[in-house]
Amino acid sequence: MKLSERAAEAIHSALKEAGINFVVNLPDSWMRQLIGRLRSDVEMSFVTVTREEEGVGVASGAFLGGRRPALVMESSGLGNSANALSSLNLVCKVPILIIASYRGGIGDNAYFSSGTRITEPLLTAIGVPHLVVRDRAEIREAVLSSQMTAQAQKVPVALLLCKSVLWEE
Amino acid sequence: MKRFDALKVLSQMLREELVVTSIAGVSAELFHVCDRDLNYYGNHCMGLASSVGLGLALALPGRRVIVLDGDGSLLMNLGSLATIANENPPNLIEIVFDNECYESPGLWPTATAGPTDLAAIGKGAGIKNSLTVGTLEKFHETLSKALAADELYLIVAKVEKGLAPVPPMTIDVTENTYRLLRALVQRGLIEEWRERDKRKEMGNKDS
Repeated sequence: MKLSERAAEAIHSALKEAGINFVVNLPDSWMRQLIGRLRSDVEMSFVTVTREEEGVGVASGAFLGGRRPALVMESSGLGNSANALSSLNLVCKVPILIIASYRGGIGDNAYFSSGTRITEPLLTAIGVPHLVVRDRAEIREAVLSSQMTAQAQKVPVALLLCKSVLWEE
Repeated sequence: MKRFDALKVLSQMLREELVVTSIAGVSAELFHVCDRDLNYYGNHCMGLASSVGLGLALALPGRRVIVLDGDGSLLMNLGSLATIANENPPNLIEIVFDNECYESPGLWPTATAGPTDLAAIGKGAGIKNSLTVGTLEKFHETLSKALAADELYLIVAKVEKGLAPVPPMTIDVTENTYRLLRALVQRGLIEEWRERDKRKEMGNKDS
């Protein structure tokens, strides 16, 4: 199996179609090609942060300044961002789209990654709407409807991209 | 110098800059000294003032953004100085009111009460204009220079401990978000944020 170039392309074009123009990122292993595409995209601002929680702040500031942000990270970063998402984004009603590679599931050999055991319960506990994407074919609709929901309801929305999306034979 | 007096000096110098504050004291005092529709009070999440300021500065390159941070708050998010230095926005001024303590819970010392030097950390992070000021005159002089310049500045203002006797803030954080957005829309800096679902192929004809 290898990382899917088609998935990277699909996510990139869905983000553009959704109007995303400001990307905040802490690099993760499963989204290498996507990060490369986003960095090279001249229509997208791209900021690398030192911690995902910091990224929540930058993305939120970008929203306040009229941009359409996406925070791209590994699912473990959601734990690092939990309080910021619940205090800043949810209470102050600042929408941001979060694209997260969903680590720790069946088929992930990273033994230290408890991602799937804690991520969804965590997001539910802090009140962040989220969607698990299991099939590459779902990407476009997932991104467009998540961004629409974020903007309309004024909430952060997290898309959790499974191994089956980001990897292919 | 007292933070409250420094804020009074700052308020005389403000024109159309966006101001982002950290949590607690600085927020309550600024609200009392000069509440304005371009202020964003950071009572939501300690530590993120510098990052929210960076996001705003990058999103609105034609506007000056001033962050009013605290030492405790900035210490929570030191990585942001590295990010800010690498992005190097010329329109961002990060002011840290360093009272060397966690004021709200009881004036407990922060790291800057010891050997920690935030301006030195800023310089090490890569912010060329990182300096410490200790008097109101120096604060005024340095801030004037920063406002006239087109460069990133980190100004650590050493201030006395203690919150000025100001009344409680009468703005809600949610209200603040939308007051700021509305102010930016009215100035023509950002688009109206409400949007319709524009995906006609999904059958929505009303967009």
